[in-house]
Amino acid sequence: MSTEVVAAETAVNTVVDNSAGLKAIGAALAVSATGFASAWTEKEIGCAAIGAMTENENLFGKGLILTVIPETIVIFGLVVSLLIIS
Amino acid sequence: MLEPKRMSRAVIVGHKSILEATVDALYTANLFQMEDFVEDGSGLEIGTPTGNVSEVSKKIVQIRSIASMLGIKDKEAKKQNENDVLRDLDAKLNELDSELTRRADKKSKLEAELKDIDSTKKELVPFTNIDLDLGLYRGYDSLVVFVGHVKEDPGVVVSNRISSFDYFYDPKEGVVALFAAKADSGVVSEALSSVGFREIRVPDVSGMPATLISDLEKKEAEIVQQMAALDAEVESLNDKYADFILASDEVLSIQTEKSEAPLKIATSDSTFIIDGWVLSEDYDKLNSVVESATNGRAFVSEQEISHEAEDLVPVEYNNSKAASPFEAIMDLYSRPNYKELDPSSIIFITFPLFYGMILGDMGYAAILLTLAFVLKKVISIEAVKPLLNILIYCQISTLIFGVLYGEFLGFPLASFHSSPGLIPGFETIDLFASPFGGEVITYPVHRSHLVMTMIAVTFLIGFIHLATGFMFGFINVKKQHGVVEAIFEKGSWLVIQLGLVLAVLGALGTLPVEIGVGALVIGLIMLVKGEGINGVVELPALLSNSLSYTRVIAVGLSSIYIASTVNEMAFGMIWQPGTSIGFMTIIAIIVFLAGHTLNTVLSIIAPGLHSLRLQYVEFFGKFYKGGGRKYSPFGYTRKYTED
Amino acid sequence: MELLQKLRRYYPGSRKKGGSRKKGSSNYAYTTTRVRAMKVHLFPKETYPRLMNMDLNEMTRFIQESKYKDAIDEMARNYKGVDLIENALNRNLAVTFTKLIDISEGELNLLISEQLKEYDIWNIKTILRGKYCNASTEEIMEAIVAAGSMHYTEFAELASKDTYQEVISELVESEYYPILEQYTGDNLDDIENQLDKKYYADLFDVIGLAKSKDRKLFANFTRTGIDVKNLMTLFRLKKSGMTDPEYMDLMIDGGSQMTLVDIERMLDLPFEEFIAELENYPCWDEISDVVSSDMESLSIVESRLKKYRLKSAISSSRFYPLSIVPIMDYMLSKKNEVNNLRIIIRGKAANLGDDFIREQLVI
Repeated sequence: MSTEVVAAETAVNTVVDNSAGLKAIGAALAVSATGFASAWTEKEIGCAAIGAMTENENLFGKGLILTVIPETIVIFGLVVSLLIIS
Repeated sequence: MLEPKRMSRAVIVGHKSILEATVDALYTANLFQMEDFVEDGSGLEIGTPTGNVSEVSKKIVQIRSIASMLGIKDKEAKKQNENDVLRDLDAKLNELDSELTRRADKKSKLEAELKDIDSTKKELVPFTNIDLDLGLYRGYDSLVVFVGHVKEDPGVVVSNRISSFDYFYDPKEGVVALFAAKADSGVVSEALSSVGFREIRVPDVSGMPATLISDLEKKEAEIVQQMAALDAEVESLNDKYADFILASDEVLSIQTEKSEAPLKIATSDSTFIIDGWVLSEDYDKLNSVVESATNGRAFVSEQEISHEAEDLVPVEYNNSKAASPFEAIMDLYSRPNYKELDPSSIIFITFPLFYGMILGDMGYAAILLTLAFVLKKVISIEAVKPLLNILIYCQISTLIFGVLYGEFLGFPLASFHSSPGLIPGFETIDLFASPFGGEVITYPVHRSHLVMTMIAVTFLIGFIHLATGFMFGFINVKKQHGVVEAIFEKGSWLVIQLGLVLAVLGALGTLPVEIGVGALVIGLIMLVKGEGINGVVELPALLSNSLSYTRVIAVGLSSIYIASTVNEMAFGMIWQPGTSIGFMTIIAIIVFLAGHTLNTVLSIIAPGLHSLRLQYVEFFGKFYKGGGRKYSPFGYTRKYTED
Repeated sequence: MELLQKLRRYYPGSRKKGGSRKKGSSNYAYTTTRVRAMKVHLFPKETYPRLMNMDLNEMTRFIQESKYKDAIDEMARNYKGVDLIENALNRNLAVTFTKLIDISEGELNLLISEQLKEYDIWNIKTILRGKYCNASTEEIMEAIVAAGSMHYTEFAELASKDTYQEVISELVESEYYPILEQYTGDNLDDIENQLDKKYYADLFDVIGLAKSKDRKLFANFTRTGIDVKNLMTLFRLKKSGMTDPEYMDLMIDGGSQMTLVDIERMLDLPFEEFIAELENYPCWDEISDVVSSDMESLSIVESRLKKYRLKSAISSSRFYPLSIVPIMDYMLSKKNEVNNLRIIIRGKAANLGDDFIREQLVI
């Protein structure tokens, strides 16, 4: 095998490796950034929901649902990262 | 099934002299919900309570105050005869009251004593380390005694000025007691002030300070004990009188509720008008109840339910027994309005469906199913029962999907490619190629290898679920505002959805694209007519809502990953099955159990919440308003007493 | 870990009890929604006609079935009849308002605490007044609402003192001592007036410290309150024909619609012209039909003015849902509810006519 071919092969391998790494980073970013986003919004809503619930237990259902509404953001992030990886 | 029970608005009119009889009959029948009368300037007025409600109220206030003081809670108890309860009420209440008062007085006396002791003790503390009888501090004719705090030993400064004196100094507390001749008092006090002397009072007792303090401490302990005994006595009063209090509260509450019914009723000088609601099926019964109680002198008539009154109509669910637990989920959100479809029966199917699709693991299903059945046996609280039933439905669904997915506590049951399954010899079978992502559908379905397909499938399920929601919306709008509005407001969305499907089919080449696009345009025009510009703004929500259903696979995968990570940690990294059994085996088992316990808890919360959210936000958002009032007829179900 | 430490430095002891609650960020979402949920528990206006048809015992039972349960349960052991309700109402008000202090954090907490000092002042005034007319300790305690920074037991101790000198010397540590010091036994009016002025001066000082948009909202709220207060004083003065400029001393500076200059001018006008002048102010809509030159009692004007204040608080709380305004609105409504209940109870106990009682209610 000539040295050029070996060099070319290593180069190709590196490129492939890099793309796998970048994919992983992209997937991680998708999950973590959306995770932060939904956590931040849920914090405010959760605070409010707990405030309302302490005074009126019947609001539990509504409070719970309002709290998890921003969860969609991280779900989208998760789906996107799954798409990136698979 | 999809509609609440029919209600009738009934108005009862009669002469004031039969008001009490009518109210009594209604109360016993427990099928008529009174509508509160609001004075509106029509000349009718709110009635005044009947009977000796003032006296009864006074007793109730007393009873409830005692109940909360004794910490009496609702509980199961034998039913007592109402007349017996009433007969003994005054005597027993007085007896209880005097017992409590006696103890309360005793306790406050003890508390005062304790406070006294405490303050004497505080006064004694400075003298603890001076070994001198407190009686010796006073009663001298020719001596003065200086007692107080000083900053340093005053011996030197004082002895510089006078020679004959005696003093005790406690360096720890910084206290001095100095005895000097009366004649020298001026000199001494001047000397003492140079060391920061601050006088303190000598307690008016005699004896050695240390013994005095230990005596006081003994006395203190005694009093604390006495107080504890009193508390225990009050506790025993709770046991002794709980039944009496619960029963008499019930009896008297019933009396006041009847007496105060006129406060909800419209009256004129001689007549009364009771307005309210009754289940249509009970209307005839109401009629006969009132007639027999008043010898036909009160008249019941049915009124048309006017459009404005529709929001007031109380709502009673009308679901099959199987679907009835899901009414709890409806109430958690908001009870349906009278003129609205009640989607309990749909949630009965879709909620466990989504839950099962998300969790889909036979192991967790088995654990949670057992848990639910055990809890059902143990817990007798009414409000929890529907939730446990829902949990059972969900686990059955999880079990079915677990078989489909071939999963057990995160382990695949069948071998897949080269990785082995839990059951030896159980091979994954390739069925057919999926149209998405070049994946192959297999049995058991390996979710983590069919991500693209599952995303597409869940998206489609969402699309269909939303369409059901729009159809419900169509029916609701039609019921409330007529068919034309229904077509434009909700029908438009269905047309748009259809258009999208046709357009996609067109893009795939099965149909001319124009048909789909045409349908889309028609749908859009209808939407603009039905909901105006708001509808167009809402349009992207169709996509985001459908995408939201991909959580079914996303949350499911995260649950698998947690479970298989636990498995990998326990039986891959810490200890491998087949190697020698030892300390690491135990660690592995602990990790395994702890990890799966955590994941079991998450398995109730995560799939439950997400499945619920898909109902509440995505599905209900398309048609549901809610805000119905609970049907709670005038009357009472006795728990502690009987006639 | 470094990040955690940084965060910890950022919120120095924000979870600790006591004064440090006033530092750190405010928890608007939590507090305002909780207060909103609390507001739902207030009696709706349909309740009052029904209460009017009940007698004292029934009313006691009725409010025991509501949020006042704890207070009634507790007081029913030691009190009966009117005393029971009066004490329970005060207790409930105090518990409710101190709860607001407990659940709020940061700037919000600071503003609420300062606002509630109103009750410290009210209680001190009550005790001094009680001592002035030789009321018994029980009688004084019946009017105490320990909703401010001072505790109920502190007031109980103050009220049990024999003379006003002892009361004042007991308050030597308090911020009101410089004013109380000047009390000679017969200048109670002046002392009370000074206390009120100090309250508002302090309030504006604290408002000046606040950084967020709440500062403006809270200031507006307070200024409207001052307007209403000044206007009531003005009405009383006018009604009894007092126009001496020295009464300007009774007025509080800082109103939003009426400056002290406006008031001084109005103080000098004859009653008809004064009323004509009022037409230029936003509260006129609320009082126009009850104000006339030959009006007999002021009580209806006062209840209308209170209503005007409530209405303006409610409307601005709709504009600023995540601010201090809904909380202030709740406090005002709650205070008003307790006031209404008290009016009915006292009115019934004194056998006043239903129509007369109804006129006093602010619904």
